[in-house]
Amino acid sequence: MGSSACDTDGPEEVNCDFDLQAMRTNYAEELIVPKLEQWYTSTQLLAAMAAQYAGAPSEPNLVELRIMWYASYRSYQSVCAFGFGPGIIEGLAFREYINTFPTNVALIDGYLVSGTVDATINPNASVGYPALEYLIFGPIGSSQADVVAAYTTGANAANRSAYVVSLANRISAIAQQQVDGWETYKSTFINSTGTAEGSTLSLLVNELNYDLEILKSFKFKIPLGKFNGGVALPNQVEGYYSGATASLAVDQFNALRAIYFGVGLDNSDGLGLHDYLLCLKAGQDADGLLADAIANKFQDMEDAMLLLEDPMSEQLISDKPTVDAAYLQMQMMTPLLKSEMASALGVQISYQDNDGD
Amino acid sequence: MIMLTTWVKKASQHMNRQVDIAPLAVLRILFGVMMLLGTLRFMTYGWVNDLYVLPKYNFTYYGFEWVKPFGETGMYVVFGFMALSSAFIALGFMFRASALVFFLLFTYVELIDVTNYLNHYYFISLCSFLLLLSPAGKTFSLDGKLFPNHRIATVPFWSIGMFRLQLGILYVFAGIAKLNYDWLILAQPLSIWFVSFREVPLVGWLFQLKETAYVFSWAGALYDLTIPFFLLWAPTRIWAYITVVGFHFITWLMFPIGMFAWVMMVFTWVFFPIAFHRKLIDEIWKVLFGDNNRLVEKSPTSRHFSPKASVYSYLHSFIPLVLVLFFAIQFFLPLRHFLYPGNLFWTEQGYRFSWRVMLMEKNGFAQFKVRDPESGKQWEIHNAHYLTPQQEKMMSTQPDLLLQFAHILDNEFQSIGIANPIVTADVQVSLNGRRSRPFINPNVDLSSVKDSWRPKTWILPYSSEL
Repeated sequence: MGSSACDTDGPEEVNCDFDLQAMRTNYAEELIVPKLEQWYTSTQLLAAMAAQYAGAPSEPNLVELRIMWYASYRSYQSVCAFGFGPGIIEGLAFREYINTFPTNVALIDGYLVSGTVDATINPNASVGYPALEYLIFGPIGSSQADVVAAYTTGANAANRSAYVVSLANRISAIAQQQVDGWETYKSTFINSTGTAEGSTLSLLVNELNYDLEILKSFKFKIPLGKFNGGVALPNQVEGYYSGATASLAVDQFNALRAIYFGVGLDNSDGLGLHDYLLCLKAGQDADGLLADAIANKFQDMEDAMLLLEDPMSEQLISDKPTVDAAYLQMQMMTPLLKSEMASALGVQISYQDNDGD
Repeated sequence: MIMLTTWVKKASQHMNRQVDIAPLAVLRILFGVMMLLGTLRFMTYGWVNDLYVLPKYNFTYYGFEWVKPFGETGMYVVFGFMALSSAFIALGFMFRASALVFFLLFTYVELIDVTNYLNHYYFISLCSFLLLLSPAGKTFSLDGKLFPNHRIATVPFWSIGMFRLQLGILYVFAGIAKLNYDWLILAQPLSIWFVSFREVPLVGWLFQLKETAYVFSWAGALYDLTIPFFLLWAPTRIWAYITVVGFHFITWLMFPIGMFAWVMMVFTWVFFPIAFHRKLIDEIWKVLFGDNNRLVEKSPTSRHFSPKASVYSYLHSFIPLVLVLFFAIQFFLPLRHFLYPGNLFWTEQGYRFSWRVMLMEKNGFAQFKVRDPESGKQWEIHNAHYLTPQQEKMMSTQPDLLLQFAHILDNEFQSIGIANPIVTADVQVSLNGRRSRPFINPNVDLSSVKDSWRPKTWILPYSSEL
């Protein structure tokens, strides 16, 4: 993929002329900034729908809010990897404030009673899309009418409405912070050379890996019960109350793949990590290049993930091997991106001095 | 036979001939100052906390499992005393005791966790041990001022020569280690690492050429193999030293090797002529104290290094034996890998303590699994839950550390009531830019494997040229 000016000499030849500046520019201008802007727009609409619903709780308004919540959550999946630069807020990646799941239902229920409904100060496990989801979809089995009733005649209805608005506003404020931050950060990002810790390439590679880790560990490994002796934990999935688990995971997967290939928001295929690996002819062996192996593994991942079904919390019980198979592909991708790609691009996770041994 | 005896006699005379003590004083001061700076740097970077306080578990050296960290306050006290003893070494105050304290504390700290192993830390331990044996505190020192009777002007040549030998061993074995297929024929891992420098202003284009990695690889091997000899030989010495400075400065620019480069640039002064050190000391003396000469013995012939009859001199009689053993071990360690089957870089059996510096880009991914045979339950392990990033990185590519982690997990699961946990690991390792491949047998229950010096049969063979 992508147009790269590479030598096409023998396989052992690694001389290659690659425009890293152009690659960083592509990432900033075609991927990161447009996706953040798209996400910010979606959060503004989400905040508007939340206000509309809180002002007049009704089933039609609830449906509109839910649709916007889903659209905005999907949009977020394509930016969750950008937890650096402006993406660090008070020492934490912004995703912590946006998508900490499973949300803490007991905390939230407590807030509704006590009236502590300020999303800007409540802990991360009680804010963001997952908290909002719990409030607008209700406990599993709630009908739309049940949910609306909680906002009209239910106990603490006013607090409930206020928290919905506060949560949506908080998400939107953070999205705006990202967009604003990138206006100045963009040139830093584009002009940061080298591979040292904190350089653009190091951030991209590290965040890509962390993004895969989020997908693999939080969205699959934990619900599959891999840390739990193998007992599935369906209520640990992302999108538990809406049932959108698999769709959201596929969205994140697509975003991750787009980052690797350098594919922009408008599907323009610019210079990306894949092109750089190709140019370097990294990891050449009898079966081809590392870049090809990664591309193939993305295809395997996609094939496996397309068999996932919503609500995945039910599929985890009814058809666990299918979910397990998707996880296994992610697991097989990990050494490719974490060991081999990082090595080939000279990116190290270096916390102390080392002498290379 | 007579020839040999004559030779030994001559060598012994050569080693025991009395020479000016000045080089030892210079080395002592340089060592003390460098170690003081290094220790303070280590503390201010927060590494005491990162490496010795934060880790929940430590990877221990075989036979040193009993070495444990002291906790936060304790570790800062250790580093505080390390800094203090460095300063005392530089000042020559209670020199032997200070050198002993430094050697013990530094070595203790290094023994806490294998994942912090660096060849240059090993080098510092060895050097501080040699310093401890030398009479380096007996001139140009506070001890000399406080106890003028203990001042000496000359020392047997071996007390200087042993430092030259130590540096020679480091360089030559580092050079021999570079004589391998990856380094010489593939120019790896430098080819991979040079990818990082493609955008450096002015010289970036050089690092886009494969040839550059070859030039650096071959030049680096040649440098290591020959530099001690060029430093020893008077006609080449000055050029050799300029090369030393250039080489270490460039490596310092390129790689995160911290103080090592600067340590080597000053320690190699020990190859300079004795007269150079004498002149240096006299000049510094003049600057500091004018012509007042109470600390330095001006008439070197009068007092030799000849310990009086005491416990001390009794100990002294063992020094030659200690030194012979000390260096014999150092000749054996880098060669011990020949006792093991398989590719050294892959298995790392006999890898440490051998001056193998910057030879590998090795990266791994280890998925441990714990199974309870009674209930059939299986857990996948999140390494970061137990280990720091540095520990996880090191553990993922080194078989003995993988085994230690398996035992950590074994203990952990036993403590939560699993009587006989079965611990296995899927490990994928990539070496010097090659595609990753399975590293150890994923079916072996590591919890039942005991570490030893025997070959680890559960390491999968590395079926490739090297």
